[in-house]
Amino acid sequence: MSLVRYIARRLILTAPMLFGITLVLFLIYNLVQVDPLVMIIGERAMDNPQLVEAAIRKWGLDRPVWEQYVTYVTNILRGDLGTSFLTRRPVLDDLRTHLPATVELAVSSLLFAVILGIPLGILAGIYFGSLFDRAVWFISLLNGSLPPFWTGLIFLFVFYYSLGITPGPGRFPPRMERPPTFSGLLTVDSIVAGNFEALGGALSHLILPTVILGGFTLALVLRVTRAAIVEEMRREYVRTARSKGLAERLVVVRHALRNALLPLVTIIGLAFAGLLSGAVMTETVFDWAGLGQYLVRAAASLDYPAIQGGTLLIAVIYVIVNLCVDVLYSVLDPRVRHG
Amino acid sequence: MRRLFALFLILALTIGFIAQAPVRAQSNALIVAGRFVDVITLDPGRAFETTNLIVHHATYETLLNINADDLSKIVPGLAESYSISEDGLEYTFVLNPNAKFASGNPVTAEDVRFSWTRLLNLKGNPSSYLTDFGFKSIEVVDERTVKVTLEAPQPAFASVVTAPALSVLEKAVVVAQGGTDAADADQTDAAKDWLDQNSAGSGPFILTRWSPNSEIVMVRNENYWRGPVALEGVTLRVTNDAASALQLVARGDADIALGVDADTAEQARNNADLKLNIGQTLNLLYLGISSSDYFQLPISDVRVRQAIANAIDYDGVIALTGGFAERPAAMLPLGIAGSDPSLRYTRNLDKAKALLAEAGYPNGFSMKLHIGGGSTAGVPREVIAAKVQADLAEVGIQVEIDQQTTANFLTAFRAQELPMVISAWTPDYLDATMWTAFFSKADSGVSRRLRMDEPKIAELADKIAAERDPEARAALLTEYVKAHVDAAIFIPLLQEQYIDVLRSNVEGYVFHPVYLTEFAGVRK
Repeated sequence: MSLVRYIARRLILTAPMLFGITLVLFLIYNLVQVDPLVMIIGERAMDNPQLVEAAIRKWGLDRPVWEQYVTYVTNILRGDLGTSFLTRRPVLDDLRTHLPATVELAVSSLLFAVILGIPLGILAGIYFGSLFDRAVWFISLLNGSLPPFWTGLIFLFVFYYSLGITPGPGRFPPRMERPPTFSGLLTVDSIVAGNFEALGGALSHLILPTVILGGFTLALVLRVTRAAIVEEMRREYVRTARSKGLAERLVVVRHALRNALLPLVTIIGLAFAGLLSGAVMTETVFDWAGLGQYLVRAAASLDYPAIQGGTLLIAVIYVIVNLCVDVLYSVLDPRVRHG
Repeated sequence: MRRLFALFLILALTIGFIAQAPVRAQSNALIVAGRFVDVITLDPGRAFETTNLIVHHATYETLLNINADDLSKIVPGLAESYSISEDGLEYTFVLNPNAKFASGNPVTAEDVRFSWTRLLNLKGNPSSYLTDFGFKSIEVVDERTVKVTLEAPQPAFASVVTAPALSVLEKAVVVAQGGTDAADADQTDAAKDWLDQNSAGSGPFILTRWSPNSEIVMVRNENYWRGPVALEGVTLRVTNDAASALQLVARGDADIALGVDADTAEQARNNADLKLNIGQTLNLLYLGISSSDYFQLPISDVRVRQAIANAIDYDGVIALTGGFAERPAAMLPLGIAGSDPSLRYTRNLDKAKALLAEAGYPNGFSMKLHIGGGSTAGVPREVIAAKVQADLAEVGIQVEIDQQTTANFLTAFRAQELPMVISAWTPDYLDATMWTAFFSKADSGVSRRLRMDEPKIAELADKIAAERDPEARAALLTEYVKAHVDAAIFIPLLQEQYIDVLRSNVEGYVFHPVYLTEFAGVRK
């Protein structure tokens, strides 16, 4: 099967999957016996019959459930995710407003995790059992076990509040003029505006949340790399490579690492999807106005259109990332395509 | 391997360099850190939350004002004077001839008519400021005079006029952005998106940007008709908790942390760079006990309710807030004329036990106490509920706490299905009817939710609503408070205080119980 046909088949399969997700989301919405009206018009206005009736009509709450579902799916197909009860804005606009902050943090965290995690993992794998290996292992275990909201608070307290060596919460220095919005990613917008002071400001605010959020992923990447290297280094082809007099560096980079990369692709893909789907705790601790915070607020206020829209977006992100991982896999290891 | 280590070194140096990047101190704008996540829109005709009050009070003006130093006095705003007709139905406002919008254009009677008619026809929640008060019509008498006609006399109307929802917008600007005051404005008005990001008012500041969940930016109105203010601008910066707001203020990244809790306030006390500003709000947290037979519970007996009121350790409840709270006698907060704190309950366990025995429950009884989420004066509902539970246990009343999400709680409360609740009440405007209209009637307000039916209280509430003489009104209100204390249906637990942490160089900051803040007089 050619690569193109493989991708096409996978894409077709995602359609029923997404359809199923909308159905599940919608069923949950209708199983929870809560009146969304309070959230729509507020507690006090509930005593005002005109406002109540107007809201019921406006939000279609008087129509049968199946009809609401059909409308919902039809609207999605038209690219309309509905209007948030809470913000009164189209959910798509809300997601567009909040996604860039999350993307910025997710990309930065992933880069941090990969750039540090893979080399450290390789070193730990090569010097398996050494003091260095054990130190790295311990730090990664610590990193992976401490909850980010706790480490986030501690880091803010120590590095911002007490020492003042990093910026505080938020995405941008409070007293600095923001660059005009272009992509919503403050780093990109700063570059587009040619404002390097703003770029410095945006990057500096990424440091702490990246270390906290990326630290978790870093631990994961590091452990997987280390385990893969340890395993590959024991294989016969490595012994062969060594016995033909290849330099150790080439043995590791050209031979062992290449094979060790395969499981890493899956891990990194899933980790990235996880980072994108909203790092709720980290975003909360760092006042990061991203997707995670938006969805938490939506959930707390029973803002169903927003919850449904956000969940759908996350589902799509996972589907796309999984697709990319599988495609990459089939490129790296053609056996997968035939399997 | 050496190359790897070199890579790490470069990376570490880069991060170090970025961290040290100089941050330009921007002018003398005021940075205010706070929750501010409730904003849905900044269109004065549509917004009905809390943060928008701060923004609207800074960027728009109303015909009349109530200043924080005297809540019972209505002072001129855009209107230099107003008069009420003999029958109490017509209000005539005369605009100040100097009043100008930020654009430099004069504020005219037509702008007032347009703004109020648009508010009414947008049919959003804030339109209730007009509809709830029997608003009938508004007409332009001349360039500087508007006449408002009501369906029935409403002594509270002048204080309603101070609500930011009744701000005056510049008609020409709003119309240019797609705004309309037509009868179908709820379908056709298209100015919301623009008003979310800009302002069209006459206030001391101009709105320049709102980034949802992130920040709201206002700059000084250089054309302000009372003379430009000292601050170059105000930025409201969203923080998720008081601890992070305090950090920002302590490091000088913000100038004010708005509405922090008692623990945070204590930390700020120990910092020489910071000072506290304590503001008395009109927000009440109350215990509501149904007097209805519907629930088949002992609390339908007034003696049982009075026993509960005598059993609560009020000082202990206030101690939970770190002492940052007050307590009125009934659902009429301190600061409102007629609210007499001497009438309030104090803890008296012997009396509580005697009342229970008299009612036939010498060994107490069991029931549920329903609460939602959220917190008042920094104390979460469940903590207050646990305190009440412990207090009542001392007289033998076993309370089981049922906590739901706020939405579920309110749904059940509104369905009149909860016999005993702890909930909160915050005012939208400054008139006694903001409380008497909601805690008195069998068929409306919060009293309806508790199935309260006390004809005497309802009758007093009607008299209060109709009384125009301030002294006679205060006397009626004191009588109203007494009647409420006797009925023991709504028992105030706390009147919240608002704690703001300021950097010590911030001067002239005033807390306002409705608008929360006055930025016009702030200097730093």
